[in-house]
Amino acid sequence: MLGSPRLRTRVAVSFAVLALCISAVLSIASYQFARSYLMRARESVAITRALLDAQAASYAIHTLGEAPVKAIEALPLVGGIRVSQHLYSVDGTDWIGTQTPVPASAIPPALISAAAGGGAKQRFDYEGLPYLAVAVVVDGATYAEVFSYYELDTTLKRGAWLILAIILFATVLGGLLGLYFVNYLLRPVRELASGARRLANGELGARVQLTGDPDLDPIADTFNSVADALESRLAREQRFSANVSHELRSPVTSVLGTAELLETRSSQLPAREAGLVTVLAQQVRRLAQVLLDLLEISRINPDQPPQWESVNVKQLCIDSAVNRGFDAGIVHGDDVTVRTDSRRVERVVGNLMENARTHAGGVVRVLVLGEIGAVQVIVDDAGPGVPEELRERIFEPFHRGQGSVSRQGAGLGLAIALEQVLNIGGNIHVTGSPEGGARFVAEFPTHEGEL
Amino acid sequence: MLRSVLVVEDDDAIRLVLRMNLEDDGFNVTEAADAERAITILEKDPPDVMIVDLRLPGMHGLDLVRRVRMTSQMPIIIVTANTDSHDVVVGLEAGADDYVTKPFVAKELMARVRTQFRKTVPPEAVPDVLTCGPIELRPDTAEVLKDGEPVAVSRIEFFVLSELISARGKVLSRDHLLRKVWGYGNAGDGRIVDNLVYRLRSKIEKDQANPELLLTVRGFGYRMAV
Repeated sequence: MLGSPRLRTRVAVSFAVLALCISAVLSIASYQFARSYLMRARESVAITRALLDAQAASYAIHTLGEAPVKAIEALPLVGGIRVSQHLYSVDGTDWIGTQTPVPASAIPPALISAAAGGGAKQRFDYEGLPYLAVAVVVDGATYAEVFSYYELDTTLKRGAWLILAIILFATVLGGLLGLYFVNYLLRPVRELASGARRLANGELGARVQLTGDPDLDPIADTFNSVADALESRLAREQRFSANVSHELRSPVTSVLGTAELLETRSSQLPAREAGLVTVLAQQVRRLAQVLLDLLEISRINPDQPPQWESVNVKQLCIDSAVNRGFDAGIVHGDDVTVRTDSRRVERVVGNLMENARTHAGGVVRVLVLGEIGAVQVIVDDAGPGVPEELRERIFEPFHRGQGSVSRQGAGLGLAIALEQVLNIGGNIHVTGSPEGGARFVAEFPTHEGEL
Repeated sequence: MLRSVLVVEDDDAIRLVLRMNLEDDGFNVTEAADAERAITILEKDPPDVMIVDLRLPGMHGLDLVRRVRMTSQMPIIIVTANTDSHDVVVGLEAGADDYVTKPFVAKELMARVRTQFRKTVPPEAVPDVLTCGPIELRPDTAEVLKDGEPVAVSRIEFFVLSELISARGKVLSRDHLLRKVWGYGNAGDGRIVDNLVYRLRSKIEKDQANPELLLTVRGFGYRMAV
């Protein structure tokens, strides 16, 4: 994905927060409105009911002469609102009543005193449940009724949960919307990034399509023209180096051949001239080698695809050492046979050994270590080691060690070793050997799959 | 009798150097600056080995190699300026036996030429006749017979076949063959072996695409079916 998860997160979170705020404000406001409306409606019904009940009881007691207990019991319990109880008291303390889930003592005393003026209502909790008490004074006696808020409360609670769920849902939806939005917005940018990545991976034909968006097209256009320029520039340089290489190869070949012929005939030459011929041949050989090395590392594409075959790496190191004039006894380690490209491994090992000989007083040991799926070839030299700050730079072409014992070589050996080990999917790094010299570690994977 | 070498090379200086080196090595040298002149010489006085620069004015070196291969098994060594171009692959496919890349050390080329003139089969392969299925090898005359009929093979092809048959079905790696037959010290170019095997198959196999005698062992090399 595009390397900007932070932007995506930021936009998604902003959307989520916005959705949270909007849905919370709207939901809470409408909840509050609904709640107070329902409460008020409920209260007014309760008050009306209490008044009617009080008048009915008063009529039964005073006009019909019924006993207060009977009159209170006769009051109906029907109706949309569940009435917990009816109570009757002459002096406001000694209550006569029925159905008492809430005892008379639980009725707030403030209500009774407030009812003295005609009537009052008050909300209160008993054993965790909400109730509304309404007290009415009719003909000198106080009638009280306790109404349960239980149902309304449950409904309101359910409503509150629902609203919370809605808020959460809106928040998540907002976040998702934000993600979608940012993805949608970033699509052209992602395309641009993928084009740039393909270009960086060496796919020189990589271009991005114009979207027709006046804000984004200039960027895409610039990218395409940069890619065009890069492609033609590289093609030009490839042509140039191919031509240079071709034009240099032939004369160097003939000069080299001439110098070597003269060298074989040096016994027929005067001593001074014979010495000159020796120098000439040496220098031309060096020139030819530098030319070959330079061509090897300057190639943009490897000269040939790797040839995978089973190779005994230790035997290869021994052969390479012997062929280059080292003692076979310097090679130690595991007798591993892996699938790799023998020519390239030889170039790597050989160059590391030559480097040790030319710049660091010789090879101390070559160590082959077999690992799961990979092989390490370690070359320790007899030099003073490579300081930390130079450990990357020594692999650059034409880099020669500061304390180099010798002026030989153009400094391309390590660059070639690196180039070739990269060609087979490996890498090289340098550390210190136990003796204080440099330790070059070339590691390359075992090639799996078809030949 | 002196062995004769034909050098086909348009660069006068290189031709001169090659001639002197080859003469120092005891070869009889004829020169041609282009393919047309080479063809005239080949018709009149065919050499024992031919060295061809692929980039020639006029007719391309590759076409010369193909043309010679149609009628002759003479060893051909190509000279290229580029390892990374298709020159090497195409040259080997056209029928070249080996190649050198400019700039080359003359000694290296001489070694390649001498390889092509190796006389004897390896000493361990003493028997008069080596057989493998319908294939019969006569080391003393460097002849190959298939079902009793002679098959025209080059010297290098003969040696590769004799190595493989002597191994009696054992797998030989490209590297092994490059060392034993071509005399390469360090790892040589495996494509040389691949192309030679390809050519050998066209001569000894019934169906080149489905070889029954000379088998590829993926990741290892080649072996004969026993």
